Amino acid sequence: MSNVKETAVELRGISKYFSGTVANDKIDLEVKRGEVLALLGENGAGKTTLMRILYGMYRADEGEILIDGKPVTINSPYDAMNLGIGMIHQHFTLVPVHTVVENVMLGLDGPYDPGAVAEEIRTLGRRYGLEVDPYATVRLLPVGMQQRVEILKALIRKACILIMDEPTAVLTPQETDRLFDFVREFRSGGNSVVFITHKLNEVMNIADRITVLRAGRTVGSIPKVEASESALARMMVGRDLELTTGQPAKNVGEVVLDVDNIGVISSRGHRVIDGLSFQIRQGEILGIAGVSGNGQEELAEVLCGLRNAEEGDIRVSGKSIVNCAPLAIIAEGVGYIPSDRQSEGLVLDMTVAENLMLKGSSDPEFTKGRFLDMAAIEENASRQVHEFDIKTPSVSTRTKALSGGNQQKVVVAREIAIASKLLVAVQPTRGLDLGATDYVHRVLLRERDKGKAVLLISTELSEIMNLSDRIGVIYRGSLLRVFTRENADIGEIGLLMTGIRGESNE
Amino acid sequence: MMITGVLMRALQMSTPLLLGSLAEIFVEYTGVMNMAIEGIFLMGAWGGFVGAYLTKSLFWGLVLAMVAGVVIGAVYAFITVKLKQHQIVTGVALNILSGGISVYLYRVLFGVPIIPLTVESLRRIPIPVLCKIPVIGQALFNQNILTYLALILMPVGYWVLFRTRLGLIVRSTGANPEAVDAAGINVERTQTLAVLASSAINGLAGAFYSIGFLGMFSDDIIGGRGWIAFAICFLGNWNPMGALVGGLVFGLAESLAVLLQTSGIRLVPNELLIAMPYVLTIIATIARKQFNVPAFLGVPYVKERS
Repeated sequence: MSNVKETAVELRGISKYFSGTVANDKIDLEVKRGEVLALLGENGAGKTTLMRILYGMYRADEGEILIDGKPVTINSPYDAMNLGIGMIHQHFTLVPVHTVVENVMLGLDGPYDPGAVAEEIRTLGRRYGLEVDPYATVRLLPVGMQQRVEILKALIRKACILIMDEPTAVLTPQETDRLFDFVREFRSGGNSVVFITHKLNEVMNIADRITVLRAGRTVGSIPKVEASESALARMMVGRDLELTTGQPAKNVGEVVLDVDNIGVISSRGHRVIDGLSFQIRQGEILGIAGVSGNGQEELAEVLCGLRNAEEGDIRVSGKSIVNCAPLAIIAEGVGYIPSDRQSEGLVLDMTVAENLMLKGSSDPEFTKGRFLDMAAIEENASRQVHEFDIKTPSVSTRTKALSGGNQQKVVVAREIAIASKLLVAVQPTRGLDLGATDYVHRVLLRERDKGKAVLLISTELSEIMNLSDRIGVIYRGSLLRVFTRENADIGEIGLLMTGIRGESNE
Repeated sequence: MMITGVLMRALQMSTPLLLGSLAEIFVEYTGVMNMAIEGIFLMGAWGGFVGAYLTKSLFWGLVLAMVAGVVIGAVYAFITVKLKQHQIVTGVALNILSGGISVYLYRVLFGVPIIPLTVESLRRIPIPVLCKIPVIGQALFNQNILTYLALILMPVGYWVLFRTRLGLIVRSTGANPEAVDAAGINVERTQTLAVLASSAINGLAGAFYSIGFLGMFSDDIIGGRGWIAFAICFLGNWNPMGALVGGLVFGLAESLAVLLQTSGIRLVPNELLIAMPYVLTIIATIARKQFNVPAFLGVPYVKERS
């Protein structure tokens, strides 16, 4: 193999502004043929924006793009695809109610011939290990399969430069390995891959070269052989960052949460939770691992009174709360950090102070008779902003003006105030940068050490492994197994996440 | 024969409902409700009459009806697709505007005639041989051009939606516009063209009321039938064949109501009969478990969101 590879893509001085904020600031980037380039950076560093510019979904405000050394104009994804560029978006761009073949055919030139395209899907699937039933409805496919459809869409358009935006975020460890096999196979054909990620271990695993972005700028570009995880972390964050790792729980007390054989049926009539039981004690974090869509959200909603259980019982400190109204459950001291802070956790158009008391509108602490006690609300907000280090111009700033990390701190602050006994946290660090993630982790551990029970539901396995005292694996609404921290094995957990039960994997 | 007469009239009355609901199905699949449908019907009726009266040619009446529909549709598309404004609010505004502008322009042209002006309405075109079939021959094969067009367009529309590239793009746009964008198709252009095309068809549908059989224009000529077409799209579950059934049911009810009113038979109050399809719509809506509502119906697509 020659050392000098041809350049496939070159970006020069790309800038992009979104209503006054700089997303990309004169970024230079080079991708060679037959190379996997990792585009590394924190959330909000501008990785996705940059790649959406290359794929024609956004238009750059400045800069130029060269493909095979020739300047090109890319005004739409159509132009990008004609230049051999394909993109796997983090949030899949699939039509859920259509079949695989319909999704692949969308926008494809040539005669309308589903049969021929289905055959092509099968052929490509066999060649790259991406088999999928062409006539399956996308909505019913597991998320790993949906990703295959996204990849097949690019392959059928003969993409030779494949952009993958955080492709492993939704995958189990085993699925990730298979994806990496595909990436290597694809690269060996002389194709290029741009792999967007913020996970350092993946970078070290798959990349040939790494370009790091921070706050919209290129920090540097180094070959993998010269890189180390700590050096990359420093480039990414701009300072040394010591990540919190949880120490095992010391003072485990009595049972706080007792979930006893609950069953939930969705509005579509599916059994989304099926005979689920577990307990959490004071001063303990129970982590629930699993591929998203296996009943995690429903479990959290049942615990917080947002959904009814058909069977079973839930007790908090011995008192049954199953199918109680949310307000009654809040009164029992159950806090809830929902997975989607913007739609469930906050009212973005309301102020920080209002959001911080959102669930306390009937709490005597915030009311005077039938009226809200504005002074108390503001006083509480000032205290919380200070205590949780929420970066906001004032407590009367609208919450939507805050960064994602600070919005999450508002949710966390409010829920911790409520959670005198139990805190239910679903994906508490989704979309947060390393600093904010670490902050949330610290808070969860601190609350545990104060003697609260914490239920941590996350699809980020590293988060679960790092913080939990016990780890349960959820699959199709059932808890397959609960590990203690000492005997938790990431390989076995990964297999269980896909529903494969095995006492040993020898 | 009485049955033939009822069927014939039923097909007539359902013609604009079929055209309107088919147009609505297409445009809603792209994620845009054509909420200006009632106003466009009215403008179509106006355009059909004025064009036919001034040129003495029904052909130019139909052309002007489509043009008038497209003009309102273009304003609607500009405001909702390009400027991303609220579809219901925009639609309500345009419906009110159409109500005023059609009467205003009618009076500017013709003053306030004491006897309503009339034109000869579209002629029936009997299809040789087929129109001789007993009972249904006259009903199905002795109608005017718009009725034939409506009956042909329903299956053609179905075929286009579910068996062609264009149909796939249309169906995908309202289900996930970002997927369409990522596939290299311009979402705004697709939606705009869909609004314009649906407005042209709605214009024709409106013209049916003025020059299709009455041969005259008045400000209350549509009387909410645009909304019925809108509802049939829903009732037919976004399927042209479902809308065909829905449109025929409404047409039949109107036809029966007319028959009972003119013949003096009073089995049930006439109003009840006219209300039946609406009651049926409500029952069907409640009874149906799952609707194929396009997921992004009514949600403007903003391309570059930070």
